[in-house]
Amino acid sequence: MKPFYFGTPEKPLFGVFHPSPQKLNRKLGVVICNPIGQEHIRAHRALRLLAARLNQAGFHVLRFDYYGCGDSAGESEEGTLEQWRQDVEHAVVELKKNARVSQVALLGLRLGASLSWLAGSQREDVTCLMLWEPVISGAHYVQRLLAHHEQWGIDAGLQTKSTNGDLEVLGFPLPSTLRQSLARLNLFAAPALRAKRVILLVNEEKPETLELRAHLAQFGSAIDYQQINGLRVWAKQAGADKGMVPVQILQALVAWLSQLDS
Amino acid sequence: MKEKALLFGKTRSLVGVLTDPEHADSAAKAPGVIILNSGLLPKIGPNRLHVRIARRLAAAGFVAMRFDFSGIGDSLPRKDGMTFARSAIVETQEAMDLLANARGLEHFILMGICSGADNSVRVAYEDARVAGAALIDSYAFPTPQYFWYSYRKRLLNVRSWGNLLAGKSDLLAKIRKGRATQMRQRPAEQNERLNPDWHMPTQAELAKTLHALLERGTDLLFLYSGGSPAYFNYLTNLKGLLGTLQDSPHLRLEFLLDSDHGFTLLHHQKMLVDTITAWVKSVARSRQPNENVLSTA
Repeated sequence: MKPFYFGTPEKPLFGVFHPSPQKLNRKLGVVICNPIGQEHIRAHRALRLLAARLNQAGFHVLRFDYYGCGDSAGESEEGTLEQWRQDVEHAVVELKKNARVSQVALLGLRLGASLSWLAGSQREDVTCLMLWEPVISGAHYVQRLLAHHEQWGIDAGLQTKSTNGDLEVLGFPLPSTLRQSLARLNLFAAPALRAKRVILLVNEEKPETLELRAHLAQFGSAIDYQQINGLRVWAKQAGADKGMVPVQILQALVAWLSQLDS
Repeated sequence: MKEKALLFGKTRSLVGVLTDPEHADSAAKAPGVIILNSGLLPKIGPNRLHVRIARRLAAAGFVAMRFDFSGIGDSLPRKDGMTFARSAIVETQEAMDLLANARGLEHFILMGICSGADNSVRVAYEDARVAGAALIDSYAFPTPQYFWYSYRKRLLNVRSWGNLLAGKSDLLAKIRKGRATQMRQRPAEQNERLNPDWHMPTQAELAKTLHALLERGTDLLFLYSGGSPAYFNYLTNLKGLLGTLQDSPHLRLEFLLDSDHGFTLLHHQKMLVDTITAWVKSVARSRQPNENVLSTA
């Protein structure tokens, strides 16, 4: 395991590289793309354990934080969707350099899955996409975050309306630049996929996920779809559920990638 | 301000981030600040607060370090079977050793929220290099008023009653999930049940620890949010525990009563960062009254 900073000197990104302990000669390396904000903190443990399982299966793995997120440089107000898409590309380059692989699988959760799609569509070396509960509509996502924030305020008995007009959601700022870029995010209008193999994994089957599954078919990639009703690691957990991980989902993702690159 | 990723500890399995001030010469004379995990949250802290605090302190001339205890955040689990209660102390000492070797620091200020505060107290008691500890929503002994305090904001909020009547309240959801039994348990018992490593000190044990620290000249900041029952209990708990030492020049009490326990709202986060930074600077000044080592950031 190697924690380090990479990317540009102006905007260094924090990453943890997990070199494969086995010589399985996997052709693929894996970059894990986090959700953002509170979803990132909540899912951190599950994604770290997912990295460990992928690692044990022989894959080189890079986990990293986007600019303005986690341990990376930048303040929480400074993140934008375009910046984060570029960060994913930096991570792909960094993984290839560290792991000496030529092909990369992007594994993203929530907004990380959407960013994986956007970044992967720009690159030939991203040959696999693993989309776990992607954010399909950025506008809807923002609406949900704001609603959760308001409900949190009601439950906590605290006034959540900002006095200076700046928005915030569950502990993190939501500046207008980010809000506007998120509002434009729509996976149905996203660039064509270039990855040859794609898995869409959802916790719960909803009309929009089935629609997305049908939409994915047009790009000529081999599409797999799984619905596993496991713990929603990005959502608030209470009591004994804190720190739990959805083992079945993690194992499904590892198994899918392992059979592709065997 | 410069940030560096670290892999350290006897087993080289602990991951941390060192935040250095722009000018290293001033930092060598000031205590280093080490920020401990809050519960299971990774080293960035609740709402990335630990990152903000570390950067603000570095801008003020301090070396700051945050790291993950083994098995939490980015750090790997230990393989030697050591309990968390012990490893939290050992690993914090390893962080101090690292800063002593790498930056020549001799004294340290620990800080933590909730369980991070509890661990700060335990390390400070065992290691005289700890010159101060910022304890945010630390130990509290539950009193009968605990539930009144925990739920009073909701009880006094018209919208909460509306939610309850409309079936939207999480209280109903908890009852539906059969958590009523859990709610009736005392918080300390809940913690010990969920985390067998964790031991709530008795009031006598805590009194002995705090007395020893204050008599040793360790500066202690007790900072309470209004969202923690610890605040409600501080008068009956903390002041009772301290006795005559409650007037110690090494003791500071601060309150952010509007805030919840997680410092969710941004203006509460700013108040917390401001308060911590001002206190750390005051501790450094009191230890080096003739040295103008700190910037005004």
